[in-house]
Amino acid sequence: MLPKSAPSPFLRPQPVGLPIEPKSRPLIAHVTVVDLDQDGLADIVACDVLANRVVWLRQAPRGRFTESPLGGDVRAPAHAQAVDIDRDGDLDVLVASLGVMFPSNARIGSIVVLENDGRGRFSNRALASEIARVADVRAGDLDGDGDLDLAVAGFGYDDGETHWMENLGNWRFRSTRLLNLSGAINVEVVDLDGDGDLDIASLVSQEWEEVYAFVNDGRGRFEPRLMWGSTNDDFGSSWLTAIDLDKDGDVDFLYSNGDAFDYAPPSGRPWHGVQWLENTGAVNFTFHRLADFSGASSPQAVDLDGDGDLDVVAVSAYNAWDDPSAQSLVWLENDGRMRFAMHDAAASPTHLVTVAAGDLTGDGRPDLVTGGLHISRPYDRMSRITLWTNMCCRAPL
Amino acid sequence: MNRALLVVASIVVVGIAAAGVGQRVRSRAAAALLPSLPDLAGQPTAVAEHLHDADAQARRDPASAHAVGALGMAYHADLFYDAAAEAYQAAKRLAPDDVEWNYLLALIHVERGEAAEAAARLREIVAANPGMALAWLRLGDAEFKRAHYQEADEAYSRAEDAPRAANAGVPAVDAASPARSETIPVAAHAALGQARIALQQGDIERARQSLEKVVDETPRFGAAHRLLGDAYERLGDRDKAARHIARAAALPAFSAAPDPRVDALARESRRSVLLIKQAAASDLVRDAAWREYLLRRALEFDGANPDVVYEMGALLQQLKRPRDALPYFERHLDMVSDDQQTLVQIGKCQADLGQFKEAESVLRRAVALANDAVGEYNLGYVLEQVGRADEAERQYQRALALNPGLASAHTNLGTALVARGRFTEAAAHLTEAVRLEPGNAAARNNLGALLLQQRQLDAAAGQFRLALELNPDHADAHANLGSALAQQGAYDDALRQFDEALRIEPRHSAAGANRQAVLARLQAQDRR
Repeated sequence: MLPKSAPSPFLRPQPVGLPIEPKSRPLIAHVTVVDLDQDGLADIVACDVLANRVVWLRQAPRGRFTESPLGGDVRAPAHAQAVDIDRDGDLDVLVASLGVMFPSNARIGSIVVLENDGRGRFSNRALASEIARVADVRAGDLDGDGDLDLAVAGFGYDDGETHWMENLGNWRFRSTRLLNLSGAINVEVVDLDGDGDLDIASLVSQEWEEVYAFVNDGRGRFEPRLMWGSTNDDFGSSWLTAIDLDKDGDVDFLYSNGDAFDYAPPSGRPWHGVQWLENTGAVNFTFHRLADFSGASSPQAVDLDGDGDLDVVAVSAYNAWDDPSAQSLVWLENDGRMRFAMHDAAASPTHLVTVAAGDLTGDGRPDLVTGGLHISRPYDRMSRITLWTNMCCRAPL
Repeated sequence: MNRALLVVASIVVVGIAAAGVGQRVRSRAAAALLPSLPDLAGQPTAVAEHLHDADAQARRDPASAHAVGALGMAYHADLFYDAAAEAYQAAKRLAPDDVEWNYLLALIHVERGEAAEAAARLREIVAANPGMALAWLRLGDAEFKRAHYQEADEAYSRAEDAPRAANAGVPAVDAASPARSETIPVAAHAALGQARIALQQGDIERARQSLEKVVDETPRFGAAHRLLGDAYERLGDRDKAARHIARAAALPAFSAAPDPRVDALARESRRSVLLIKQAAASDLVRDAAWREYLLRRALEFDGANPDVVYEMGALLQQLKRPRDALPYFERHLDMVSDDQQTLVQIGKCQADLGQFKEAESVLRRAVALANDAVGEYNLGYVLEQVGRADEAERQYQRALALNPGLASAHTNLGTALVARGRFTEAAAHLTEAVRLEPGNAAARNNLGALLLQQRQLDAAAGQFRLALELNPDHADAHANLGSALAQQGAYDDALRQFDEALRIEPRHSAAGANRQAVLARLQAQDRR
């Protein structure tokens, strides 16, 4: 970990989408950047827990974002992935639904596809319901039969699970449990061992605080492996992102721990931070602490400064907000030798739980989008969805 | 004084002077190893003063391992890990044989999630202190997290075998703070760790055996019941799986191993987040006094923090002390105006105190601020208490529209519908409440009561028995089970249940009356 570096004021925030309604407190659980209508302009898709909706901020023309709901209600949507699940040539949206945001053992989670009719109209199709609250779902061909199966993080509360769902065709799926531990918060579908098939990684929070690999034999049989575990049962695992951070040809992970949705006050937990789990082969991973960051969430790899290596951006949902200098957005500059120096990027708005990167302005630089999840005080610097235009550093490519 | 004596005296004086110089040199060297006082600007006053005092104390006596270690504890307890580690290292150099500072260093690695570093240090500790059960347990955990299962298994075995007395020699507890109970002993945690290894390795039967022993010896270990439920499910025994999952749901989901050194850090801390963390980690039933003590400390040091004030109110509310809780919620509302959750809590307190008019007013204010199932549910409860059944029913329905998983709303709506004779609808809600919260004894008792009313005696008795398995002190469930048994003609068994209900709640009217009725019937039989 390098010492903290100077603040970077080159990310210019601008609210996009609908304004915050009077007396309401935004609850945006996830944002992603995707050209949903494939018109050449990047859009934003966001999970709005307050509205029980997945929303689409369509960019048309460039620089103008118009928000509209995608399909019908989805209770407490936690994660959305744009993917052509029915292989009909357009992008559908695969949604993980918690059912309710607050902790509950009730089996009220569901998996919903917002099915695109090809003309930008989306309709809800439930793939599973009455299951443990679902925090994440990702698609991938897990059994090598050519269709898209699902990996599911069933967070639950005390009784969650990680499972995969085999696509049987005609929108029917068969579920198989992989791990019976509560608090599965993220899954990633990636080739962990470089054998050409897709494996699953699952981040399990709650009191377990472990990262599991489920190594695929190529036919949908999985061998569980504990990739990494924290000795701190209150570590607050919050996000897992698969990325080849060191560009050595294998899949690494960015991993944040900053969840504090448990006991108040949420601020100032020195064990919170951002990590890199470096793939060292044979499904072995080496832990590197990149930065201490209270409330850390949603680390993403992006070449923010245009110097050819991957930097890391992360947000905080639970920092010491009574201190006006407490950061909600930071970036970790890669010095090219996989050493990272943290730069403050923004202290307002507060309570950012999700960040995504993509060139939203069309200037060749990656911009950022964040979502605000205001479930704890203070409520004086709130946001829903914010576009952070990247004014750094070099001339656009 | 003769010359010889004078020479000796001179040597002694020179020796003392030299010793003094040597001590000063050593002190200076030791002081140089102390961590620099960090920038404390912006820190809460209590934290800044605490660290200033501890730093000054250590600098007065930098060659004292105790003083330097105490500085480490002050930093550690106030969550300055780097400075704490430096001070512990310095203390360790001064007293290499004292396990204390090395163990606290290991705890910092544990808290930072650094399994490899924690394991290395804990190995040093257990090598020198093979009877230290907690160090073995933590070593087992650290090795497990590294997927070093053989090493973990060995460490857990040593933790299980270590004599309980080996936990002695830990920091003295000052009389002003409550003692901690050993809710879940180290050996049970170690056995749980071994079961996790077995599950990880696919040896489900070994896990089952190990966990059966754990729950037999430590029935309040929720995590063990949950893993045992998982083991039974994987073995295909769904009934046993469901029973253990239900039992787990009625218990705290997680209990950290009791560690007197962690408690000592909590006592030392001036940092509200650590105090509240430790309070939240302690058992609400067995360690209520400890929990309240920690929160009162948090209030003492960080009383202007609204979150701390709210936590205090929430604890007192959980402890069923609404009169004590109410002022804290009111104070919190002064600090964070229009806080919807706080308004709901105030309404709950007022309802618990029978102040239904005030409660209705404040709950209506809460639900006007945001769509909130809990607020709607509580408003329903208040309206039910004042006899406005139609309005209460609508409130419960509103709560369930916002959150269909709110078991308490299903329960209350179900019981309200029973009272209104709408048994079919009631049964649906009470069944849903049990499905949502299989570990909720009260929900099972309510469903059982409805089944009893419908003369489904076996099904009713089954629900009462499950309720009693979850909460053996549920007087209503004993009384109801007694009624079911009496209606089945099992009078002796029924009397035992009534007696048990009356033992728990001597003024339980239904149990008393039904007991008399059964006795009368038995006497009548005898006469015949």
